[in-house]
Amino acid sequence: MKKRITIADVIIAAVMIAWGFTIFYPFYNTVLTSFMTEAEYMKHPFSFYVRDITFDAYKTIFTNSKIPRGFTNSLIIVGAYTPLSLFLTATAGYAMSRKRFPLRNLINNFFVLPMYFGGGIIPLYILVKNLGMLNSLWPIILIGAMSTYNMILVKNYFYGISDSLEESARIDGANDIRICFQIYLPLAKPILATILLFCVVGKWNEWYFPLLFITDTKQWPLQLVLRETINEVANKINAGSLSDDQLGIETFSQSVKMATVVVTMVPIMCVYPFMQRYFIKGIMIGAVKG
Amino acid sequence: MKANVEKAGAITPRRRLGKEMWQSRYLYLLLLPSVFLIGLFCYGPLYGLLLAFKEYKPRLGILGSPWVGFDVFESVVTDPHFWHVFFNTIKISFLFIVFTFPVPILIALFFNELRSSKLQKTLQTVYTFPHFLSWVILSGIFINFLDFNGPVNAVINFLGLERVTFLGEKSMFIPILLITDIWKSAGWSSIVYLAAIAGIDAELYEAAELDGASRWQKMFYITVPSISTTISMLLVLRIGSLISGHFDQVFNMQNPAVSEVAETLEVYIYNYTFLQGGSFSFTTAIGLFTSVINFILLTVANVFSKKVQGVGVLEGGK
Repeated sequence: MKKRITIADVIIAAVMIAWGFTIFYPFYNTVLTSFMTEAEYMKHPFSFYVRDITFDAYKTIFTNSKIPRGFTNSLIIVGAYTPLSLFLTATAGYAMSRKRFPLRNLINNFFVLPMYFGGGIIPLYILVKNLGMLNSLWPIILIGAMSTYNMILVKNYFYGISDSLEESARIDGANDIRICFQIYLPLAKPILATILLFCVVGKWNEWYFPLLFITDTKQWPLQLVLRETINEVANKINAGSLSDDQLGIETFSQSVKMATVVVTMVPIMCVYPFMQRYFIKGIMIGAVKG
Repeated sequence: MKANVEKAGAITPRRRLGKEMWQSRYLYLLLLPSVFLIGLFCYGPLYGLLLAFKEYKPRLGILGSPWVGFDVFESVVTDPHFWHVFFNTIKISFLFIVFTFPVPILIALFFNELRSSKLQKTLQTVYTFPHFLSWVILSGIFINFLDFNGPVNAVINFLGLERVTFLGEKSMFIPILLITDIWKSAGWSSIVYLAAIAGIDAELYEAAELDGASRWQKMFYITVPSISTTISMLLVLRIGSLISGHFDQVFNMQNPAVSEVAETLEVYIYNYTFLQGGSFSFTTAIGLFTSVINFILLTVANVFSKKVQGVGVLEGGK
């Protein structure tokens, strides 16, 4: 049933495009600002193109070691966390998808209870301190590596697979570990891809645990370096502790801040086209199965 | 396998349990690392909650520190600043529910009315993108965007109005939180509603068209009622997180000029412990207080959710 395009259609489309522009423009402006000279920014902060392109901001942030180091730290964290987390959620998800084995309900409650009740941030801090993990990447990699929410996604996915697969494998003499890795996990590729992307984006964006647990700025992930770059002025006034020298950045203009924002965003922008499809699938699974 | 066990009727239940557990040994092996990590990082801190009933002396450790009963809680509930922060948190959450919750529903409804699927695809790419960025990044963008010399003020100036110090005004801080949250999350949140709309039986619309229903009539009498279960589910979830949440956003957008309106419980816990060097016992007690309220809210939300949908908010079915 094709219908004529009415005025209402035009208005709806216009409003939706305007909202899209409102979301798009601040990003675009950020990128423009990172290529602007200070003089041009003061004259034309709201513009659609750069008249006098300069790469000074990028030269500044890449010649001081802070940002490349932060980038490397973030890559290490994501690179260690993602396979670990996938391994844990996949194996636990498979085990919990087996419907009958002793202690199953107890273990299930053990996993689910922390979603309702936690000790809070201070006891966690003391625990990490007592484990001797302060000022290392370990707590960032290990805390949350077993995500109960993701485990439930895997479990629900396996519920949809017929038990006869497991039974025939068992007749052939395979044990649960082989059944999990050789039969079930290869079938779970779509859900595991979704979780992989959840992990990569979530960890890349992590900033609070590093802020709590890492005081040695050399081990900071990129997000924290960015945070300090943005808050530099405010922090100087408040704590009187951080100097330009410590941050290793000589010129603090708007363009340096925005160039740092751009560098922090680029990895997400690179994976976004691939992940959009999977994320939407992921949220659907979550929505349908609760 | 199960049949074998049942045939051997002579064995006692206890030996049967032992045998079943032995048969499941590889499952336990698969679960072991996960159980270990959850035990360490989710249950480990529960032991630290003892601090709420002790006067923490780092040298003596958690067990060695002297017990003080409910003294710490007493100092928390008699602290006027605590109540200021507590009501601030609830106020912010409440305003978020009122102003940001309906927006994704509206976006989904109108998005669904778009005729061109190409336009839909492009817009969805734009709408969902900010969801994947941290508030560290977004606060960087907004602090620049709303700067006194920034793009928004350039437009205000161009219109002949006074420039505004957006992020330095107490009265503007919460509205800015609301707007930037809508900006970041509304597009992403609308996907759940779009999924619900996609599940509506097309025959309903066809029948309504035959009866001569207009576009708006179809929207209000078919689409909205069909997604009302999803709406109430998500509303229950939001109420369940009344006391926790928005930390990332508030913490990164705040600055000393607005701290009076910006301090929520989690921000306060961080500032008091790590910036002011306050007592661990005091903030542990606040954390425990928060956890208990959270637990109650989530449990209530769960009961509602089970009534509405037959599934708990967090378990995702068994």
